[in-house]
Amino acid sequence: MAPPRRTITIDPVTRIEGHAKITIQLDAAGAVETARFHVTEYRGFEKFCEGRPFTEMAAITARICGICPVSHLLAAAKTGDKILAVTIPPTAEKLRRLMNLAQITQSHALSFFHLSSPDFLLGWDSDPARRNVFGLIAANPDLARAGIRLRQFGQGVIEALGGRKIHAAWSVPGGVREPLGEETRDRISAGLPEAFAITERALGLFKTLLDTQLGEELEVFGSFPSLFLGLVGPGGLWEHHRGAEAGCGIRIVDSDGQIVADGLREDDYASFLAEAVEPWSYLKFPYVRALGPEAGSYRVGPLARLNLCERIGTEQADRELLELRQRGGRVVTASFLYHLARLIEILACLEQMQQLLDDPTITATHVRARAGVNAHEAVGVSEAPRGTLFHHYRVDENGLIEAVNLIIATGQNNGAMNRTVTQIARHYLSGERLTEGLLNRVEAGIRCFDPCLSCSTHAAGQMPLLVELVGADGQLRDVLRRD
Amino acid sequence: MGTGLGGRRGNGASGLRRHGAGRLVIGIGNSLRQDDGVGWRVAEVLAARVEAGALAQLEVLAVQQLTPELVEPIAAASAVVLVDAVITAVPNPGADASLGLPPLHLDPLRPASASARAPLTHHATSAGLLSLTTALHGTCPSAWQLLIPIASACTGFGEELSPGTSARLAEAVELLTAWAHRHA
Repeated sequence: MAPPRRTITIDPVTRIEGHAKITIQLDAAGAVETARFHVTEYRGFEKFCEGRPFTEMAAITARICGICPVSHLLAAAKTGDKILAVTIPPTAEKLRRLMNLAQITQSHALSFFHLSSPDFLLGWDSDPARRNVFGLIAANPDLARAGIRLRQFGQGVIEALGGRKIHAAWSVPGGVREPLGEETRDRISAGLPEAFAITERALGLFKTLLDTQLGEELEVFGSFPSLFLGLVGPGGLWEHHRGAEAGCGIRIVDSDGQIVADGLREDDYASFLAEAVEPWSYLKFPYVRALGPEAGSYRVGPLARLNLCERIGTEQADRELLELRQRGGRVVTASFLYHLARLIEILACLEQMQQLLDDPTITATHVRARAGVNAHEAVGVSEAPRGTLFHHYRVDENGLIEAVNLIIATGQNNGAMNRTVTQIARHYLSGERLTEGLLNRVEAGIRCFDPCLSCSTHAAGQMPLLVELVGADGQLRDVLRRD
Repeated sequence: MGTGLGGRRGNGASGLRRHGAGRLVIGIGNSLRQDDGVGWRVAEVLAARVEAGALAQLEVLAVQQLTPELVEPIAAASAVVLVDAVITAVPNPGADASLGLPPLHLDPLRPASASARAPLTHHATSAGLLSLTTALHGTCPSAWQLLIPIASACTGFGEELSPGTSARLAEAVELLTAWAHRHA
């Protein structure tokens, strides 16, 4: 007879970004058997897009998410390039890269400064009423302001390029709509020194915390071997935009640093990736097809990109990358170091933005190639802040969408998030009583991956965070609620 | 805005941003989710009025969700209104005048100690954003919120508003136009 089970459910239903909950499954002895990160909001954008012109996909998919619209914008435009079968002008390529670097900067800034740093600075067991950005302001107002300034900088670059901070339908199939003027270029450049200074201060602060008080988190918050997947550039350079072209491609490495696959083409993603479906979540579980759902589970995003690359290619970021590897190994398996990886990537973004802005061709005016429908199926790829993003379209002879498949970054970290929650629950759950400390750490484990579930209506109403402990007899044993 | 970038129009200007006016309207919503996007639509209509010269010196922002950097335009404003949708139990609010729904109105909005944060997401509230503005800048402008009731059934995928919410959009635009004139 199977041993009786008890279930703890952590159920935050949030207003904007989809519905999610966490269930911790106990065995008869009261030990954690497994944990599941549920996403219960059905995403129907693929169906919604059918029948629309492919040229509208950049503008439509950018509205999927209020947090990372640029990622969908760029992936959609790149897929459109392939349907047109054009090579976009070099300046358009540089401008798209500039926008993606700004997007990664602002997204990572929100994650580090406002969502996660209150945990580091105020402590996991501090009052939840204070363990937020307001507590951060009280404890370290300069850091809180710096986070906003850095995010503003990234958003400002996006707005300067695209005319809107959100939903900038500026990147289009064939290139971009508008070139970059010299005045705008100079305004962006003028903001870089402050952005560098903020990032360097944050790096110093976080590395000190890692050295002095975050050792346990490195061991417990999602530390396990897995594969890592993402784009790399020529010679294994850190890459965030180009797919299979000019020596670039998708690389997969394992935790020992062995390259499992290299130079993979996004067009062939279905041959090397598969998606498992679980009845308890609408978020799929992508895995490396040849290895199966367990062994083929992989991580994407900032830590994966730093594990995959040989080097970043800019001076300051490469110095930090070396230090990261001295701290965590050639391939870093501690998910808690996603936070450090974000700061290193911000530094890399700022350095690469400076390089692009110093390039005299960045203000060239030929930024768009034009053509008709020359291919009926295409796959575009880009590195979103949270990881590799695939757009796959099939169109008819008029360019109307017949089928769409989107593989989003958060979904690719789904397996890793579940393993992280399980690891934390096993370490911190004791007996049948739920504690704020456990809840805080489970949430923080998920936050390492900075999941973005922004595919929901935003007006469904904010719900409390509810944790339930259900005994083997079905009776409610304990409840923890956070309004 | 702080970086010297956000206070200027980009070279692909959308027509949604007007700066340096003192009064600010922020429309919130997902324009791909039917009535959920009514706040965004209100902002678009108001921006068009500003563009046409019918409203002077009004800054209008349309956002899909509230984010921390919005404290900067809020702090720079003399008065602000946040326009958003709110789910009601009424099946199609605004569609049938016989339901006797009260007219839309502006509710004073005060900084709230947003003690809780969304545990796993990037969620922020209007009152929390005002509180953040106060915490960072030591002051906060007079603020109101305009909540437009919508039905949960009208938040599927789509860009069209329901008839009832379309009517409410027009009502909201007139209400905000009058507000802008009063605070000129």
